[in-house]
Amino acid sequence: MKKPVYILKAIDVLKPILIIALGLAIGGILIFVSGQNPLTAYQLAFKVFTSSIFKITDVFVYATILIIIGTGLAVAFTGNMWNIGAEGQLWIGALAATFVVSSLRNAPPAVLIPILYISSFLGGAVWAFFPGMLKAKYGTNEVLTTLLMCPIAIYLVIYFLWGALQDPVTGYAQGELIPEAAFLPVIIPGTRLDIGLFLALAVALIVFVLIEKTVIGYKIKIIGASPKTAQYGGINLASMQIWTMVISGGICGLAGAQLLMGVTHRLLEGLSPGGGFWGYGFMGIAVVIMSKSNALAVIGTSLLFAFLISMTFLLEASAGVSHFIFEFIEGFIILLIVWLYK
Amino acid sequence: MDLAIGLLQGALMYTIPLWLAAMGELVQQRAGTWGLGIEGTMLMGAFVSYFITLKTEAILLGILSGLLVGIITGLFMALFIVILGRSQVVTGIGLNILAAGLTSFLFVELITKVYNRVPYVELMHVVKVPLLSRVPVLGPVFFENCSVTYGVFLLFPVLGIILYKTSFGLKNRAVGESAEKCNALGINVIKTRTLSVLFAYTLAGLSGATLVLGSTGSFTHGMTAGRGFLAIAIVIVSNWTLLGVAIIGFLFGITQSGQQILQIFTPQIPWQLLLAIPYIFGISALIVGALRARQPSELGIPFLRQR
Repeated sequence: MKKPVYILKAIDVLKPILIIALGLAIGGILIFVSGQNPLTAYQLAFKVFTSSIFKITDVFVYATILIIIGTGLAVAFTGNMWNIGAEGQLWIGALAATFVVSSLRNAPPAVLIPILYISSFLGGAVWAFFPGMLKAKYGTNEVLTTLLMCPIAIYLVIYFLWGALQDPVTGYAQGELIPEAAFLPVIIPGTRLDIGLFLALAVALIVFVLIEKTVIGYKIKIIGASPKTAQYGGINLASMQIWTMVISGGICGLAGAQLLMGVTHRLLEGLSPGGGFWGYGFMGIAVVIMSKSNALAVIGTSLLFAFLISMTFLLEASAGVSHFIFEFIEGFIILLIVWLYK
Repeated sequence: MDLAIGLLQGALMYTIPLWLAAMGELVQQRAGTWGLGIEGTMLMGAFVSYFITLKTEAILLGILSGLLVGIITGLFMALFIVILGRSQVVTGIGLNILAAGLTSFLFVELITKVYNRVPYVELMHVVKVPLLSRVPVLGPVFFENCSVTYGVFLLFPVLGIILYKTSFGLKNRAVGESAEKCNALGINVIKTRTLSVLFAYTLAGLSGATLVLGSTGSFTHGMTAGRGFLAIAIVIVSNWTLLGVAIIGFLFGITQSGQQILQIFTPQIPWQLLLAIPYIFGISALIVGALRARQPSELGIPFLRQR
């Protein structure tokens, strides 16, 4: 009885590793096509990677973001709500937090940091509410609505960056530097690794417990498995669908505050790469599928993916390989996931 | 009057790629599968046609390469979606991200780094239809275009006949309503759906080529900017009809053209809002569509042989 479960678990761990490895391999092929030697490129990148504690901890910095988003998506996907708009929710979360921080510039960190996290949660939740409501009430396909909300979110942010939130110091179309009180305390000096990592781990744990052990989690699982069964069982399908999206969007919104307070320290166009089309929100989709919508597995998968991100950024810094290779690998990995996971 | 002509010409230029993508998507969706990867395919078609035209200086080869990109992608997508029956959503999104990364990477490594600028390629030649192009307003708009545009005009009635008047078209529409019953009747569901997918992605590749060779003559990162998704919105809001696609597609074109003109004449309206209009329109279209439209009954449900 014990053995089959053990074997299954090994495959579940091996698959993501294999996928990431294949991703790096296909990246190598693309580098070769562009006329460079992939082996030297990767060697250089790895050398730089292992040479500094800053670079190594950066993996955990990226992982923090992915854990948050992956967890948020785990909630939605468990409820069969295909939240493809995590990217938009992330941006609106960051936007909301920026608005709040601009009016609370003198608050102490113990007050400011939690408030900013909460505002970003609310921002993301509101952004996800709209597509959730459309699905619940009119049956509108949530994939397309959440997806289309992403560029709208970006344009909204850009609008404010050029206007009300424009940096008074430099005059560029970027947000003002957030007050020092809002900078997340760094865990290891000399790196960017901040307490956000603990928050991310806590969120993942909370969501895991929520889904596995609570009534609301049970309801989410049911509406995900079978809407009809849910209705016969007395669950208000529409209401649960909206709640699932709202919770998911809120958690994804947290990632916006995390980026704001821990990485960029201001709202700007490069907060999440890809201009709203392939950033952290979409990487989160790959992560959550590889994790089979399990919030705890998300932690491991996020670390793997974050390693991939680091390597590709280093490939550019050390070997001059265009960073777009990451986007290519990301798409390739998603397709691999579709192939290898039903 | 010149303003009207300008508005309509701008609208048509924006609409042609949308029409191509939407027509293909319509056929695919009527047969029962979502083609979410047409955005990425358009982008790849655009880049490849730009690259080939740049290197060979032959516009025709550019167009053909765009078609070829579409065919190859279509084969791949048909394998994943129709034969293997995997998630149409995630496959499409994965393809889009891969395409964006691939095109941008190759654009940087093979163009920007090599030429240190973005070389322009020649656009498709404009052909004036004798007599008709002298009609006031409508003449210069509809009868002074490149051959591909005329091809698109013709494609509407041709596709309409094939889709609604032939048994081939009937099969295509039928498998999207009830694959099981069609299978029982001896219709090869897999083959019909595969062909619909191929058609959609081939047209998407061509659509990308027209973006480059019909309007801009160059390539930029992410130049499709969501047009593929707009095409899907067009199909939905047109209630999955060809006539609807024609009308709604042109409406989108007018909106975009109008927005560009507004940007110049009413600078007080924030440009970010104007840029977001197509996406807002897309969502509104989806809402309206969900309220009144009837989508093909088995759209999105894979047909898996469990024999």
